Amino acid sequence: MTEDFQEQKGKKTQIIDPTPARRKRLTELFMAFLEDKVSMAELKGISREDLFKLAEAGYVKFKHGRYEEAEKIYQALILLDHRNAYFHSVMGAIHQKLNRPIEAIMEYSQALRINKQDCSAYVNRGEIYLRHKNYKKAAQDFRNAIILDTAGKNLWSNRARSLVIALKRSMEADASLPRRRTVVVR
Amino acid sequence: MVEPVRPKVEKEIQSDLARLEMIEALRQGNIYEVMKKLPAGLTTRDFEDYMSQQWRNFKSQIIQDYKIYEGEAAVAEPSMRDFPVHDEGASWTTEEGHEFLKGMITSLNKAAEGEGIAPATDIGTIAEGTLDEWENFMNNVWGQIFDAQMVADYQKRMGEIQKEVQRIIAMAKSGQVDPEYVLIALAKVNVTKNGCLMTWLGKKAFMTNETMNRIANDLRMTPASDPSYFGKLQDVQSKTRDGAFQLQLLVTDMQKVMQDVAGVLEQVHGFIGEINRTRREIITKVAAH
Repeated sequence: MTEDFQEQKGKKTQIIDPTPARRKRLTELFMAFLEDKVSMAELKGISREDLFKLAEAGYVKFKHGRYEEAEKIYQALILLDHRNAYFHSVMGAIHQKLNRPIEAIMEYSQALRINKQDCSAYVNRGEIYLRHKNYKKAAQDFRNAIILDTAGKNLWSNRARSLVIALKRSMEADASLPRRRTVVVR
Repeated sequence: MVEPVRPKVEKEIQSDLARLEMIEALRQGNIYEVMKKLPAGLTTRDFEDYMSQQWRNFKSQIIQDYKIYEGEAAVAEPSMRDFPVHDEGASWTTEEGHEFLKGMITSLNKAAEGEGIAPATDIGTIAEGTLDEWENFMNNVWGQIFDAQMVADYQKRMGEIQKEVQRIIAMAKSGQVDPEYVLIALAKVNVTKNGCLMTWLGKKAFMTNETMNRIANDLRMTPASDPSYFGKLQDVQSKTRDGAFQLQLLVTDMQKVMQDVAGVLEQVHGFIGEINRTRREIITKVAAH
Protein backbone atom coordinates (compact mmCIF):
# COMPACT_ATOMS: atom_id res chain seq x y z
CA MET A 1 0.00 0.00 0.00
CA THR A 2 2.80 2.35 0.95
CA GLU A 3 4.68 1.48 -2.23
CA ASP A 4 1.62 2.32 -4.33
CA PHE A 5 1.49 5.61 -2.57
CA GLN A 6 5.11 6.32 -3.41
CA GLU A 7 4.63 5.42 -7.03
CA GLN A 8 1.58 7.63 -7.27
CA LYS A 9 3.32 10.64 -5.85
CA GLY A 10 6.66 9.93 -7.43
CA LYS A 11 8.22 11.21 -4.22
CA LYS A 12 11.04 9.59 -2.35
CA THR A 13 9.98 8.24 1.02
CA GLN A 14 11.97 9.61 3.87
CA ILE A 15 11.56 7.79 7.17
CA ILE A 16 12.88 9.79 10.03
CA ASP A 17 13.95 7.41 12.70
CA PRO A 18 14.54 6.67 15.54
CA THR A 19 11.08 7.22 16.95
CA PRO A 20 11.74 10.16 19.34
CA ALA A 21 13.01 12.35 16.49
CA ARG A 22 10.08 11.42 14.30
CA ARG A 23 7.66 12.03 17.12
CA LYS A 24 9.25 15.40 17.82
CA ARG A 25 9.05 16.41 14.16
CA LEU A 26 5.42 15.30 13.86
CA THR A 27 4.53 17.12 17.07
CA GLU A 28 6.18 20.28 15.83
CA LEU A 29 4.37 20.10 12.51
CA PHE A 30 1.08 19.39 14.18
CA MET A 31 1.58 22.29 16.59
CA ALA A 32 2.50 24.59 13.73
CA PHE A 33 -0.70 23.54 11.94
CA LEU A 34 -2.78 24.23 15.05
CA GLU A 35 -1.15 27.61 15.51
CA ASP A 36 -1.91 28.54 11.89
CA LYS A 37 1.75 28.64 10.98
CA VAL A 38 1.51 26.05 8.23
CA SER A 39 -1.33 25.08 5.93
CA MET A 40 -2.51 21.70 4.78
CA ALA A 41 -1.01 22.48 1.36
CA GLU A 42 2.39 22.98 2.96
CA LEU A 43 2.07 19.77 4.94
CA LYS A 44 1.08 17.87 1.82
CA GLY A 45 3.84 19.52 -0.19
CA ILE A 46 1.49 21.22 -2.69
CA SER A 47 3.35 24.11 -4.28
CA ARG A 48 2.06 27.66 -4.45
CA GLU A 49 2.29 27.48 -8.24
CA ASP A 50 -0.23 24.62 -8.22
CA LEU A 51 -2.51 26.56 -5.91
CA PHE A 52 -2.21 29.56 -8.20
CA LYS A 53 -3.20 27.50 -11.25
CA LEU A 54 -6.26 26.17 -9.43
CA ALA A 55 -7.18 29.65 -8.25
CA GLU A 56 -6.89 30.93 -11.81
CA ALA A 57 -9.15 28.16 -13.12
CA GLY A 58 -11.69 28.96 -10.41
CA TYR A 59 -11.49 32.66 -11.18
CA VAL A 60 -12.25 32.07 -14.87
CA LYS A 61 -15.34 30.09 -13.89
CA PHE A 62 -16.37 32.84 -11.47
CA LYS A 63 -15.86 35.52 -14.10
CA HIS A 64 -18.09 33.67 -16.56
CA GLY A 65 -20.91 33.19 -14.08
CA ARG A 66 -20.29 29.53 -13.30
CA TYR A 67 -20.49 30.19 -9.58
CA GLU A 68 -21.26 26.64 -8.42
CA GLU A 69 -18.17 25.26 -10.12
CA ALA A 70 -16.03 28.12 -8.87
CA GLU A 71 -17.38 27.52 -5.37
CA LYS A 72 -16.23 23.89 -5.42
CA ILE A 73 -12.74 24.89 -6.52
CA TYR A 74 -12.41 27.58 -3.88
CA GLN A 75 -13.81 25.32 -1.16
CA ALA A 76 -11.01 22.90 -1.91
CA LEU A 77 -8.48 25.72 -1.99
CA ILE A 78 -9.62 27.00 1.39
CA LEU A 79 -9.24 23.50 2.81
CA LEU A 80 -5.73 23.36 1.43
CA ASP A 81 -4.69 26.82 2.51
CA HIS A 82 -7.06 28.45 4.97
CA ARG A 83 -4.56 31.24 5.61
CA ASN A 84 -4.85 32.73 2.15
CA ALA A 85 -6.90 35.93 2.23
CA TYR A 86 -7.51 35.87 -1.53
CA PHE A 87 -9.36 32.55 -1.35
CA HIS A 88 -11.68 33.87 1.33
CA SER A 89 -12.25 37.04 -0.62
CA VAL A 90 -13.27 35.16 -3.77
CA MET A 91 -15.41 32.78 -1.72
CA GLY A 92 -17.17 35.81 -0.26
CA ALA A 93 -17.83 37.13 -3.77
CA ILE A 94 -19.23 33.73 -4.81
CA HIS A 95 -21.59 33.71 -1.82
CA GLN A 96 -22.60 37.26 -2.62
CA LYS A 97 -23.39 36.35 -6.22
CA LEU A 98 -25.40 33.36 -5.00
CA ASN A 99 -27.43 35.59 -2.66
CA ARG A 100 -25.98 34.29 0.58
CA PRO A 101 -25.14 37.52 2.40
CA ILE A 102 -24.33 36.01 5.81
CA GLU A 103 -21.80 33.56 4.42
CA ALA A 104 -20.37 36.29 2.21
CA ILE A 105 -19.84 38.60 5.19
CA MET A 106 -18.17 35.81 7.13
CA GLU A 107 -15.77 35.09 4.28
CA TYR A 108 -14.96 38.76 3.70
CA SER A 109 -14.37 39.23 7.41
CA GLN A 110 -12.03 36.26 7.44
CA ALA A 111 -10.17 37.66 4.44
CA LEU A 112 -9.81 40.98 6.22
CA ARG A 113 -8.61 39.33 9.41
CA ILE A 114 -5.77 37.82 7.39
CA ASN A 115 -5.10 40.78 5.11
CA LYS A 116 -6.22 44.22 6.20
CA GLN A 117 -5.24 45.70 2.83
CA ASP A 118 -7.84 43.72 0.86
CA CYS A 119 -9.75 46.57 -0.74
CA SER A 120 -12.27 44.42 -2.64
CA ALA A 121 -13.31 42.62 0.54
CA TYR A 122 -14.02 45.95 2.27
CA VAL A 123 -16.08 47.27 -0.64
CA ASN A 124 -18.04 44.08 -1.23
CA ARG A 125 -18.79 43.62 2.46
CA GLY A 126 -19.77 47.27 2.72
CA GLU A 127 -22.11 46.86 -0.19
CA ILE A 128 -23.89 43.97 1.52
CA TYR A 129 -24.25 46.07 4.65
CA LEU A 130 -25.58 48.92 2.54
CA ARG A 131 -28.15 46.71 0.84
CA HIS A 132 -29.32 45.55 4.25
CA LYS A 133 -29.44 49.11 5.56
CA ASN A 134 -26.67 48.72 8.09
CA TYR A 135 -25.36 52.14 7.17
CA LYS A 136 -22.84 52.51 9.96
CA LYS A 137 -20.91 49.37 9.12
CA ALA A 138 -21.21 50.07 5.40
CA ALA A 139 -19.74 53.53 5.89
CA GLN A 140 -16.86 52.11 7.94
CA ASP A 141 -16.01 49.60 5.22
CA PHE A 142 -16.20 52.19 2.44
CA ARG A 143 -14.01 54.51 4.47
CA ASN A 144 -11.39 51.79 4.92
CA ALA A 145 -11.48 51.01 1.21
CA ILE A 146 -11.11 54.68 0.23
CA ILE A 147 -8.23 55.21 2.66
CA LEU A 148 -6.36 52.32 1.00
CA ASP A 149 -6.18 54.27 -2.25
CA THR A 150 -6.07 58.02 -1.94
CA ALA A 151 -4.83 58.43 -5.53
CA GLY A 152 -8.15 57.23 -6.99
CA LYS A 153 -6.55 54.58 -9.19
CA ASN A 154 -7.94 51.47 -7.54
CA LEU A 155 -11.21 50.34 -9.15
CA TRP A 156 -12.58 49.02 -5.85
CA SER A 157 -11.79 52.19 -3.95
CA ASN A 158 -13.55 54.12 -6.68
CA ARG A 159 -16.55 51.86 -6.32
CA ALA A 160 -16.51 52.61 -2.61
CA ARG A 161 -16.55 56.33 -3.47
CA SER A 162 -19.58 55.89 -5.69
CA LEU A 163 -21.28 53.72 -3.07
CA VAL A 164 -20.83 56.45 -0.48
CA ILE A 165 -23.09 58.59 -2.66
CA ALA A 166 -25.57 55.70 -2.87
CA LEU A 167 -25.39 55.37 0.91
CA LYS A 168 -26.19 59.06 1.40
CA ARG A 169 -29.12 58.86 -0.99
CA SER A 170 -30.39 55.73 0.65
CA MET A 171 -30.21 57.36 4.08
CA GLU A 172 -32.02 60.43 2.80
CA ALA A 173 -34.69 58.26 1.22
CA ASP A 174 -35.12 56.36 4.49
CA ALA A 175 -35.34 59.57 6.45
CA SER A 176 -38.13 60.84 4.20
CA LEU A 177 -40.13 57.61 4.60
CA PRO A 178 -42.32 56.91 7.64
CA ARG A 179 -40.52 54.78 10.25
CA ARG A 180 -40.78 51.04 9.77
CA ARG A 181 -38.92 48.00 11.03
CA THR A 182 -36.04 46.79 8.90
CA VAL A 183 -34.01 43.60 8.94
CA VAL A 184 -30.35 44.39 9.50
CA VAL A 185 -27.51 42.00 8.75
CA ARG A 186 -24.87 42.32 11.45
CA MET B 1 -3.76 58.87 -40.22
CA VAL B 2 -7.17 58.97 -41.91
CA GLU B 3 -7.97 62.12 -43.85
CA PRO B 4 -11.25 63.91 -43.15
CA VAL B 5 -14.10 62.77 -45.40
CA ARG B 6 -15.21 65.21 -48.08
CA PRO B 7 -18.54 66.89 -47.13
CA LYS B 8 -20.23 65.74 -50.33
CA VAL B 9 -19.25 62.13 -49.76
CA GLU B 10 -20.33 62.34 -46.13
CA LYS B 11 -23.81 63.51 -47.10
CA GLU B 12 -24.16 60.75 -49.68
CA ILE B 13 -23.17 58.07 -47.23
CA GLN B 14 -25.48 59.47 -44.57
CA SER B 15 -28.45 59.43 -46.93
CA ASP B 16 -27.43 55.95 -48.03
CA LEU B 17 -27.23 54.65 -44.47
CA ALA B 18 -30.67 56.06 -43.69
CA ARG B 19 -32.25 53.62 -46.15
CA LEU B 20 -34.23 50.85 -44.50
CA GLU B 21 -32.42 47.93 -46.12
CA MET B 22 -29.09 49.47 -45.07
CA ILE B 23 -30.24 49.86 -41.47
CA GLU B 24 -31.40 46.25 -41.47
CA ALA B 25 -28.08 45.03 -42.90
CA LEU B 26 -26.15 47.01 -40.29
CA ARG B 27 -28.36 45.66 -37.54
CA GLN B 28 -27.50 42.13 -38.60
CA GLY B 29 -23.86 43.10 -38.50
CA ASN B 30 -23.20 42.19 -42.15
CA ILE B 31 -20.94 44.99 -43.22
CA TYR B 32 -20.22 43.34 -46.59
CA GLU B 33 -23.91 43.63 -47.57
CA VAL B 34 -23.72 47.34 -46.86
CA MET B 35 -20.58 47.65 -48.94
CA LYS B 36 -22.20 45.91 -51.90
CA LYS B 37 -25.12 48.33 -51.93
CA LEU B 38 -23.04 51.49 -51.97
CA PRO B 39 -24.14 53.95 -54.72
CA ALA B 40 -21.93 54.55 -57.72
CA GLY B 41 -19.02 56.91 -57.07
CA LEU B 42 -18.59 55.82 -53.47
CA THR B 43 -15.76 53.43 -52.70
CA THR B 44 -15.21 51.08 -49.79
CA ARG B 45 -12.40 53.38 -48.71
CA ASP B 46 -14.83 56.33 -48.51
CA PHE B 47 -17.15 54.25 -46.38
CA GLU B 48 -14.35 53.12 -44.05
CA ASP B 49 -13.08 56.69 -43.69
CA TYR B 50 -16.59 57.84 -42.90
CA MET B 51 -17.00 55.16 -40.25
CA SER B 52 -13.59 55.95 -38.71
CA GLN B 53 -14.55 59.59 -38.44
CA GLN B 54 -17.89 58.70 -36.89
CA TRP B 55 -16.08 56.54 -34.35
CA ARG B 56 -13.67 59.39 -33.52
CA ASN B 57 -16.58 61.79 -33.05
CA PHE B 58 -18.32 59.28 -30.87
CA LYS B 59 -15.22 58.66 -28.77
CA SER B 60 -14.56 62.36 -28.31
CA GLN B 61 -18.04 62.78 -26.83
CA ILE B 62 -17.39 60.22 -24.13
CA ILE B 63 -15.79 61.81 -21.10
CA GLN B 64 -14.44 58.55 -19.65
CA ASP B 65 -14.00 55.71 -22.08
CA TYR B 66 -12.29 53.33 -19.67
CA LYS B 67 -13.45 51.53 -16.53
CA ILE B 68 -13.24 53.71 -13.46
CA TYR B 69 -14.81 51.44 -10.90
CA GLU B 70 -15.59 47.76 -10.42
CA GLY B 71 -18.97 46.06 -10.41
CA GLU B 72 -20.84 44.36 -7.61
CA ALA B 73 -19.11 41.41 -5.89
CA ALA B 74 -16.08 41.71 -8.14
CA VAL B 75 -12.68 40.41 -7.19
CA ALA B 76 -9.30 40.85 -8.77
CA GLU B 77 -7.80 38.00 -10.73
CA PRO B 78 -5.27 35.97 -8.77
CA SER B 79 -1.69 37.08 -8.74
CA MET B 80 1.37 35.33 -7.35
CA ARG B 81 1.61 38.11 -4.76
CA ASP B 82 -1.54 36.67 -3.13
CA PHE B 83 0.27 33.41 -2.52
CA PRO B 84 2.81 33.52 0.28
CA VAL B 85 5.98 31.50 -0.14
CA HIS B 86 5.59 28.01 1.32
CA ASP B 87 7.75 26.60 4.05
CA GLU B 88 9.18 23.63 2.19
CA GLY B 89 10.60 22.09 5.35
CA ALA B 90 7.09 21.77 6.73
CA SER B 91 5.94 19.12 4.30
CA TRP B 92 5.24 15.65 5.55
CA THR B 93 7.15 12.79 4.07
CA THR B 94 4.95 10.28 2.28
CA GLU B 95 5.40 7.84 5.13
CA GLU B 96 4.41 10.39 7.77
CA GLY B 97 1.41 11.61 5.82
CA HIS B 98 0.25 8.07 5.19
CA GLU B 99 0.63 7.14 8.83
CA PHE B 100 -1.24 10.23 9.93
CA LEU B 101 -4.04 9.45 7.50
CA LYS B 102 -4.28 5.88 8.75
CA GLY B 103 -4.51 7.15 12.30
CA MET B 104 -7.31 9.52 11.36
CA ILE B 105 -9.25 6.77 9.57
CA THR B 106 -8.86 4.45 12.54
CA SER B 107 -10.12 7.12 14.91
CA LEU B 108 -13.13 7.64 12.66
CA ASN B 109 -13.78 3.91 12.58
CA LYS B 110 -13.62 3.78 16.36
CA ALA B 111 -16.11 6.60 16.56
CA ALA B 112 -18.36 4.82 14.06
CA GLU B 113 -18.21 1.65 16.15
CA GLY B 114 -19.38 3.63 19.17
CA GLU B 115 -22.36 4.87 17.18
CA GLY B 116 -23.26 1.43 15.91
CA ILE B 117 -22.02 2.03 12.36
CA ALA B 118 -20.15 -0.84 10.75
CA PRO B 119 -16.53 0.25 10.35
CA ALA B 120 -14.33 -0.45 7.35
CA THR B 121 -12.66 -3.48 8.93
CA ASP B 122 -9.75 -3.82 6.53
CA ILE B 123 -8.48 -0.31 7.14
CA GLY B 124 -9.32 -0.65 10.82
CA THR B 125 -7.19 -3.78 11.15
CA ILE B 126 -4.31 -2.31 9.22
CA ALA B 127 -4.24 0.80 11.33
CA GLU B 128 -5.07 -0.72 14.73
CA GLY B 129 -1.50 -0.30 15.91
CA THR B 130 -1.44 3.31 14.83
CA LEU B 131 -4.43 4.23 16.96
CA ASP B 132 -2.67 3.63 20.25
CA GLU B 133 0.27 5.64 19.05
CA TRP B 134 -2.06 8.41 17.97
CA GLU B 135 -3.90 8.44 21.30
CA ASN B 136 -0.64 8.52 23.24
CA PHE B 137 0.57 11.28 21.00
CA MET B 138 -2.62 13.30 21.58
CA ASN B 139 -2.44 12.71 25.34
CA ASN B 140 1.07 14.09 25.30
CA VAL B 141 0.38 17.11 23.18
CA TRP B 142 -3.02 18.43 24.23
CA GLY B 143 -1.56 20.12 27.29
CA GLN B 144 1.02 21.84 25.13
CA ILE B 145 -1.66 22.82 22.61
CA PHE B 146 -3.77 24.48 25.28
CA ASP B 147 -0.74 26.23 26.75
CA ALA B 148 0.22 27.57 23.33
CA GLN B 149 -3.36 28.66 22.65
CA MET B 150 -3.54 30.40 26.02
CA VAL B 151 -0.27 32.25 25.47
CA ALA B 152 -1.30 33.34 21.96
CA ASP B 153 -4.74 34.45 23.15
CA TYR B 154 -3.25 36.25 26.16
CA GLN B 155 -0.68 38.11 24.07
CA LYS B 156 -3.26 39.12 21.49
CA ARG B 157 -5.78 40.40 24.02
CA MET B 158 -3.24 42.13 26.21
CA GLY B 159 -1.65 43.81 23.21
CA GLU B 160 -5.01 45.28 22.21
CA ILE B 161 -6.09 46.30 25.66
CA GLN B 162 -2.78 47.85 26.67
CA LYS B 163 -2.94 50.22 23.73
CA GLU B 164 -6.40 51.26 24.87
CA VAL B 165 -5.24 51.73 28.45
CA GLN B 166 -2.30 53.89 27.36
CA ARG B 167 -4.70 56.04 25.39
CA ILE B 168 -7.05 56.43 28.37
CA ILE B 169 -4.16 57.27 30.71
CA ALA B 170 -2.93 59.90 28.26
CA MET B 171 -6.46 61.35 28.05
CA ALA B 172 -6.78 61.35 31.85
CA LYS B 173 -3.42 63.12 32.18
CA SER B 174 -4.48 65.81 29.74
CA GLY B 175 -7.78 66.22 31.62
CA GLN B 176 -10.03 64.97 28.85
CA VAL B 177 -11.51 62.16 30.94
CA ASP B 178 -12.03 61.60 34.65
CA PRO B 179 -9.55 59.43 36.61
CA GLU B 180 -12.30 56.85 37.20
CA TYR B 181 -11.90 55.78 33.60
CA VAL B 182 -8.29 54.83 34.24
CA LEU B 183 -9.35 52.67 37.17
CA ILE B 184 -12.03 51.00 35.09
CA ALA B 185 -9.54 50.41 32.26
CA LEU B 186 -7.05 48.86 34.65
CA ALA B 187 -9.78 46.65 36.06
CA LYS B 188 -10.57 45.59 32.52
CA VAL B 189 -6.93 44.62 31.99
CA ASN B 190 -7.09 42.46 35.09
CA VAL B 191 -10.40 40.87 34.07
CA THR B 192 -9.08 40.14 30.55
CA LYS B 193 -5.93 38.54 31.93
CA ASN B 194 -7.93 36.42 34.32
CA GLY B 195 -10.45 35.61 31.58
CA CYS B 196 -7.66 34.08 29.48
CA LEU B 197 -6.49 32.05 32.46
CA MET B 198 -10.02 30.96 33.21
CA THR B 199 -10.56 29.74 29.62
CA TRP B 200 -7.28 27.87 29.76
CA LEU B 201 -8.16 26.22 33.08
CA GLY B 202 -11.63 25.37 31.81
CA LYS B 203 -10.19 23.64 28.73
CA LYS B 204 -7.72 21.72 30.85
CA ALA B 205 -10.48 20.59 33.20
CA PHE B 206 -12.58 19.52 30.23
CA MET B 207 -9.73 17.49 28.72
CA THR B 208 -8.90 15.88 32.07
CA ASN B 209 -12.52 14.88 32.38
CA GLU B 210 -12.52 13.52 28.82
CA THR B 211 -9.39 11.46 29.52
CA MET B 212 -11.00 9.98 32.59
CA ASN B 213 -14.15 9.13 30.65
CA ARG B 214 -12.08 7.41 27.97
CA ILE B 215 -10.25 5.33 30.54
CA ALA B 216 -13.55 4.27 32.11
CA ASN B 217 -14.99 3.41 28.67
CA ASP B 218 -11.97 1.26 27.84
CA LEU B 219 -12.50 -0.71 31.04
CA ARG B 220 -16.20 -1.13 30.34
CA MET B 221 -15.41 -2.68 26.95
CA THR B 222 -13.13 -5.29 28.57
CA PRO B 223 -15.12 -8.36 29.68
CA ALA B 224 -14.81 -9.19 33.37
CA SER B 225 -13.70 -12.72 32.46
CA ASP B 226 -10.61 -11.32 30.71
CA PRO B 227 -7.43 -12.29 32.60
CA SER B 228 -6.11 -8.75 32.26
CA TYR B 229 -9.29 -7.28 33.74
CA PHE B 230 -8.04 -7.01 37.31
CA GLY B 231 -4.80 -5.33 36.22
CA LYS B 232 -6.75 -2.88 34.08
CA LEU B 233 -9.12 -2.15 36.94
CA GLN B 234 -6.25 -1.22 39.22
CA ASP B 235 -4.76 0.93 36.48
CA VAL B 236 -8.09 2.73 35.97
CA GLN B 237 -8.47 3.30 39.71
CA SER B 238 -5.02 4.80 39.93
CA LYS B 239 -5.57 7.02 36.85
CA THR B 240 -8.97 8.12 38.10
CA ARG B 241 -7.49 9.12 41.46
CA ASP B 242 -4.81 11.06 39.64
CA GLY B 243 -7.41 12.73 37.40
CA ALA B 244 -9.62 13.63 40.36
CA PHE B 245 -6.66 15.21 42.10
CA GLN B 246 -5.77 17.20 38.97
CA LEU B 247 -9.36 18.37 38.67
CA GLN B 248 -9.32 19.49 42.29
CA LEU B 249 -6.18 21.52 41.65
CA LEU B 250 -7.76 23.08 38.59
CA VAL B 251 -10.90 24.00 40.50
CA THR B 252 -8.75 25.60 43.23
CA ASP B 253 -6.91 27.61 40.55
CA MET B 254 -10.22 28.70 39.06
CA GLN B 255 -11.41 29.86 42.48
CA LYS B 256 -8.21 31.86 42.93
CA VAL B 257 -8.69 33.51 39.57
CA MET B 258 -12.28 34.40 40.40
CA GLN B 259 -11.28 35.74 43.81
CA ASP B 260 -8.66 37.89 42.15
CA VAL B 261 -11.24 39.33 39.76
CA ALA B 262 -13.72 39.93 42.58
CA GLY B 263 -11.02 41.54 44.73
CA VAL B 264 -9.91 43.89 41.97
CA LEU B 265 -13.47 44.91 41.15
CA GLU B 266 -14.17 45.55 44.82
CA GLN B 267 -11.02 47.63 45.12
CA VAL B 268 -11.82 49.67 42.02
CA HIS B 269 -15.32 50.23 43.32
CA GLY B 270 -13.87 51.46 46.62
CA PHE B 271 -11.41 53.78 44.88
CA ILE B 272 -14.09 55.31 42.69
CA GLY B 273 -16.27 55.84 45.77
CA GLU B 274 -13.34 57.49 47.50
CA ILE B 275 -12.69 59.80 44.56
CA ASN B 276 -16.34 60.82 44.46
CA ARG B 277 -16.45 61.38 48.20
CA THR B 278 -13.38 63.62 48.06
CA ARG B 279 -14.82 65.46 45.09
CA ARG B 280 -18.09 66.10 46.93
CA GLU B 281 -16.17 67.25 49.99
CA ILE B 282 -14.18 69.75 47.93
CA ILE B 283 -17.34 71.06 46.28
CA THR B 284 -19.10 71.42 49.66
CA LYS B 285 -16.17 73.23 51.18
CA VAL B 286 -15.73 75.53 48.20
CA ALA B 287 -19.47 76.28 48.23
CA ALA B 288 -19.37 77.03 51.98
CA HIS B 289 -16.79 79.76 51.41
